[in-house]
Amino acid sequence: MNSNLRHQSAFWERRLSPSKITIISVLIIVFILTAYPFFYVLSLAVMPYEQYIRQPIHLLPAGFTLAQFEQIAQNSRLVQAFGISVLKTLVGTTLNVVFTVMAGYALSRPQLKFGRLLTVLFLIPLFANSGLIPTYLNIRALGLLNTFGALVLPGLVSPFFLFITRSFFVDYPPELIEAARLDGATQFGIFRRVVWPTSVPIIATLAMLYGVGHWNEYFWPSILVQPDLQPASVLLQGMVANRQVLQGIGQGTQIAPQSFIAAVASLLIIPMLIAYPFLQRYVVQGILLGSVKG
Amino acid sequence: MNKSIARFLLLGASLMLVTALVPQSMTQAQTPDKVVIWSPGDNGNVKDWNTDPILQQVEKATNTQIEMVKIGWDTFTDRVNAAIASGQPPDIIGVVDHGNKTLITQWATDGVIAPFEGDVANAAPNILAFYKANPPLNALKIGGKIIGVPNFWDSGPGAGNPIHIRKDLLDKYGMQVPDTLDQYFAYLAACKKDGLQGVTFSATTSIIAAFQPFAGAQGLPADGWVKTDKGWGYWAVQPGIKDALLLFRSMVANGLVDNKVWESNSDVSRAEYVSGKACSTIWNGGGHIGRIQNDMTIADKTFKEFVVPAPTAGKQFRGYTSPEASMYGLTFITQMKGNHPVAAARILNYLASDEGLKLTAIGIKGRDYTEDNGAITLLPARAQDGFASEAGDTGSHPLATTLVSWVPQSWQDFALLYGHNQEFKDWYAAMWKNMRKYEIPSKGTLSTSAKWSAFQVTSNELRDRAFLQIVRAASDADSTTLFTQFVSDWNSQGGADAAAEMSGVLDTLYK
Repeated sequence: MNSNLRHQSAFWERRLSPSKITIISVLIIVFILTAYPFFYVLSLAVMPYEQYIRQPIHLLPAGFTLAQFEQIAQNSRLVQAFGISVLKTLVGTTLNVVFTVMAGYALSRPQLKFGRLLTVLFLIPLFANSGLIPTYLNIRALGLLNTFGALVLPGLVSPFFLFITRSFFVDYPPELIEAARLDGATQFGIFRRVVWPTSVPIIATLAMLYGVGHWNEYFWPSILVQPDLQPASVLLQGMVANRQVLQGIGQGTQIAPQSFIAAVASLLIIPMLIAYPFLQRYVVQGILLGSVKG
Repeated sequence: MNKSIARFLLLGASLMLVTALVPQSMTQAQTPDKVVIWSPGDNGNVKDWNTDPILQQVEKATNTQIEMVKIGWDTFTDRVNAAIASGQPPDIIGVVDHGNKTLITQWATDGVIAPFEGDVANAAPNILAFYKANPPLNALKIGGKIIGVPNFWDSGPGAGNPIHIRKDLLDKYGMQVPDTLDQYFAYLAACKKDGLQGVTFSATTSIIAAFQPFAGAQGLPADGWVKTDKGWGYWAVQPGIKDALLLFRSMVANGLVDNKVWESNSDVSRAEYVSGKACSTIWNGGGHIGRIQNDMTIADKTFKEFVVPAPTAGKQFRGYTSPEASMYGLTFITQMKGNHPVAAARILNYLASDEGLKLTAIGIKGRDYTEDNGAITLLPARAQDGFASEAGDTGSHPLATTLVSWVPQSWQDFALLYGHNQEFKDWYAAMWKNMRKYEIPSKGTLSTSAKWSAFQVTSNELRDRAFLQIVRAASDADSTTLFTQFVSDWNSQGGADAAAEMSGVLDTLYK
């Protein structure tokens, strides 16, 4: 019995040294600080208006209702906007990843003609932005204004992500490529059958980063497409800005209640909260690979 | 066969002749003009503008076919500018901040927006009448021409930000309605003693909204320009404002202010008062008075909202700052290639008419409401027709705002008082009377000059920063030093020149 107790005590001492306790405490605090805003939004979303009005600040949820979510489900415009968000994220991310990986791989090949020049061309947008009106006119000239293409085609290849991808491929084992070539594979065949399947970390990283970007983006969609093509993030931003502006003016016109805004925000947060933990390890791995190599 | 061809040709020629002889105005009247409207905000409860019955009613009344697009406030101006640059602006640009004179002047001088003259003016008599009834709006003209529709909520000067207190607490403490700021401070002190917070307001970036009663007690407005011995002077640099700031500081220094105000936005400070944590607020009046009471009743049935007539500070002055006009923002009609300015003017004119205002406030007679001897009964169908049902708003349709109005006060009051008993209606009327009992009119807020336009942002920054420092300073002496420094900085950084230029503008306006 005594021996058991000693064993347990030693076990806990090993497990819970002062430094470990400190680290765990700090991590718990960081977790609370990071998770609480999400929790707050979620609790506002399910809080009945009567409870909301009784306290100026709510540290913990009071009451429970799904009324706000029911309203969202009945609002065809919001339902459509969430559909656009999903479609934009899926289609946009797929295109982004495919084109970025293809461009990054091509630019990493030393035998590519004018490779340096092309690299510089991709580098310019990192430092010089064309601005709102030229971009708008450009999109319009391409016939993309008010089309789904305007949501996914501009920014097809992000220069920053391209350089991470290029760095990833610079040290890609040349033996694999050479072996495929000897087997008679074409350039595109090598990319499709050899490079793509062996580049999961960078693909997952790009999918995560582009995907989050598409899901959250509100500025360009609010400029480039009409409301029937706008994703939910635009509607959410519109509601928040509307509330601020109308309160500033001091008129009690149609203002979406805070709980309704919180419910829309929750629906935008939840998919990211679910997806991120699964892809997080790839993101870290991919960025480290891309940043160290080359 | 040949006869058939000849008959066919004859028939065709006859039809062409008839078409040519029909007056053009007749054909135009039959074909609705397409009008694209962009306005800021969200769609509210409208699920689909193409099938919205209220919009369809406007189309019918104005012989137009409307494409309605709502755009978020934060990207609205960017999107309009981009559309103008591409040569395809909408026919109507919904409300743009009327203080953005640089942008508006640019649009006017570039010929993007149509002035209200000729056919456009003829199609919009209600807009012209509104200008005529509100002379201060002449300051919004460019080159002497009306260039936009002021979005109004009332005719005549607006109401200020009053002091709100709880009547039930006043009774509990055995106090009278404060007539002086000292009596108001005594009420706040009693609240503190009772375990409540004092007065709440939003002061994250500025105290101006809460400053009106203090400036008023010195006979000054908390906005615009005041006539002085040397011409016109900016309100915030007047000597009396120093005394007002010192009074405000004493309220802060004595712990009578809710300590959250420095971090609270307007939402939080309102909730602090409505929930009963703070016993007073200095905030918007008007319809908000009733909406505050409605929410207070949800929080606790015993809470009684009360608006205090502007108090004195021992001098003969008192008053809340009354804006020159009850409006914010201008709506524009465009006249670039492909635009239909006259049809656009018809729409705005209709929306500004009594019929249009009633339509967007309560809906279609027989469908959304019934009327019997002037008594209106709202019908459940309104909820399906885009009208708001959430707490805290005016119950109007999204078309009621950001085009010609922010919902007229009379319709705001109707929505607020609908279903309430006579006691509530009497109380509401009494609170309005209290709010407007003493007012200090502001002047020159709609006017500008080149130098004032250029300096205004700096002026606001200097003022807001200095005022926050002054009211939170350690002593009256420190506050006085800070105020002197603020006035000096304001004058030296461009204020003196801007004020001299504005004096000329205002002398002409207020002859």
